[in-house]
Parts: sequence; structure tokens; C-alpha cells
Amino acid sequence: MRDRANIFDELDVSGFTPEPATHKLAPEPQIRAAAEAQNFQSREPKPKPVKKADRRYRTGRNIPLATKISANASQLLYGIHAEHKDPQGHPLWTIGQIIEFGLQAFQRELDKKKVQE
Amino acid sequence: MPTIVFANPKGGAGKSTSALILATQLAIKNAGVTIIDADPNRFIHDWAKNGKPDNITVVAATSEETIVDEIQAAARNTAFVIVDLEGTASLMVALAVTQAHLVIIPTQGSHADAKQAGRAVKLIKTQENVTGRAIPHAILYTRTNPAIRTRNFAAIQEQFRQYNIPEFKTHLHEREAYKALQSFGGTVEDLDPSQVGGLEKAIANAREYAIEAIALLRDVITKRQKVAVNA
Repeated sequence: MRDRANIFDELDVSGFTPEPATHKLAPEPQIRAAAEAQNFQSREPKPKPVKKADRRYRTGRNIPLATKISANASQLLYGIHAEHKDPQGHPLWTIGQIIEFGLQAFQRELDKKKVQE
Repeated sequence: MPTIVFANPKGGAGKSTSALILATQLAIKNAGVTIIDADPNRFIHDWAKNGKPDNITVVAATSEETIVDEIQAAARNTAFVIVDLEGTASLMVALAVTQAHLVIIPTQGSHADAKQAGRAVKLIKTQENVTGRAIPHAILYTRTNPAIRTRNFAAIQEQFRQYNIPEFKTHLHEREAYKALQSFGGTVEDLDPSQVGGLEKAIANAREYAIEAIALLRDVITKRQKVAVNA
């Protein structure tokens, strides 16, 4: 609804023109500190902290296995573990590794058998 | 040139509506206006999508990093800059306030609104110390009932007066037309009286408010010029 212009209209916007702001600029850290003291805080998302490089050595062997084996098999398993050592005297392989090597060898045998059949 | 910032850390106090009404009233008088819509609810941005006067520019999506630059750039381009802030206590409010010629603090006549309006006043006082200049401000009562002045409202008004906090004589009443602005876009004057009731009263109220805002701004600018001459 547009109404007729009122000759006594008091809303006079003359004299206001675009011009550069002349406000003194306070240093931003001071504005921020004063605002934060009154709990007017930044509400903008902060950049995610950069993740530290993970330098841990991971074997991938993290599944527990509990089973019963014969005394001979046990002797063989721990015998291999005790027998093979590096120059510093540390075992070359863990019990888990030895079981994995055994399984790999078994798998190879099975694969060979399949080819022959 | 004048930058008018609308601030109240409480949502729903009437910031966007009162900012929009002032902007459209100035635009009707052919003044160039930039509205910086710093409210993530984008009330003004959505209003503009439904149609706006050509001499109003809406700038959306501001960040704390850029708001001061955006206000200053707008001041170089249009006669008036209006900043509509989010209803939250954020750093952006503080940054915008430092650039204001006038901070309008809309508040409803409720304790929750008035309490947050009080926080805005405290923030302004602190930033006055930081910037070393007076930041003129005034409370604007919004969504008031033109016929009834409740005891609660009277008590709130009395508290602000006790602390000598300036206030608009004009209250922005609860009007259907102001709500309709969002649906139809444009100005209150453009609304169709067959679709929106009480238009004449809404227009009169909007004008009265704009006239008072301009009078306050003229007063602010005259005082500043006097200070500049004396300095």
C-alpha cells in the first residue's frame, strides 16, 4: 500500500552520504580480551589441531588365541622360539609369529596339493 | 556513513525486524543502505529473496575476521550501514559495536530479554574504554502492546532508567505487518491491506521509529563534529 507523500513528513535523510569510517581502530586483541572477560567469546569453529604422526610400530597381531595342543607340539613351538636368536641374544620371532609362519607353510602345502589334483 | 548496529545477545528480541524496518524506511526516502546480515539464521537474506528496494544491498556470510572490513567497505558505498547480529554473546558483537555510530538494543518487555540487553550495554561500556570513544546506544522496546503497559514492562523500563540508559521514546509494537515482511519481502508500505491487517498503524509506527533513529544519529554526528572542532 503506497500512500501519498506527506509534505510534513519528518523523516529526512538528507546530509547522510557514503564516506570512509573515521573511527579509531582499537587493536583487535584488546577488543577480544575485553569482550571475552564478559563472556562474549568467539563462536566460530576453530581449526582442527594437526594430528601428531603415529610412530608406534604395529604388528597387526592383536587377536588372542587360546587353545590346547599336545606336549610335543608345545615343546616344538617353544623350542623354535628359544633356539633362534639375534646376535644380541633376543628371540628372532615371537610365539605368534612362529604360529603364523607355520600356518603360512601349511597353506602353501595345501595350495600345492590342489595344483597336483 | 552512519553505521547502526543492532545488538542483544538474546535471540528473538526483535533485532532483525527492527533492523529491517529501519533499513526499509530509509530506503523509501531514497537513501542507499547496506544491511550486513551477520545472523546465521539469515532472516534478512531470506527477506531479500522475496523482493527488496533496489537501493538496499544485503551482504551475508560475515566472519569475525572480516566484519570490521565489511562495515568499513559498506560505509564507503552507501549512506547507511545496518548490521544485524546473531542473538548470542559472541566476539562478533564486540567487533561490530566498535564500528557503530549508534547501537540499537532491541528488547521485549521480558526479564530474559532485558537481562541480555543489560549485558549488551555492559559490553558497549567496556568497548568504549578500549576504543577511547563514546559508543552511542539506546534501548528499543519491541513487540510491545500499544494499548497495555504491563507491570513487568514498567519495572524493566524503570531499571534501565535508573542506570540512565538511553531509550527510544517510540516502541516497536507487535504488528502483523512486521511479521508479514518476511513472507512478502519489500517494505511495510508495499504490503497489501487485503492480506495484512493494521497496515496504517504499522506504517505510522515504523516511520515514528525511523524518525527518532535519524534524530539520534544527527545528534551523534553533531556532537562528534563539535568534539573534532574542539580537538
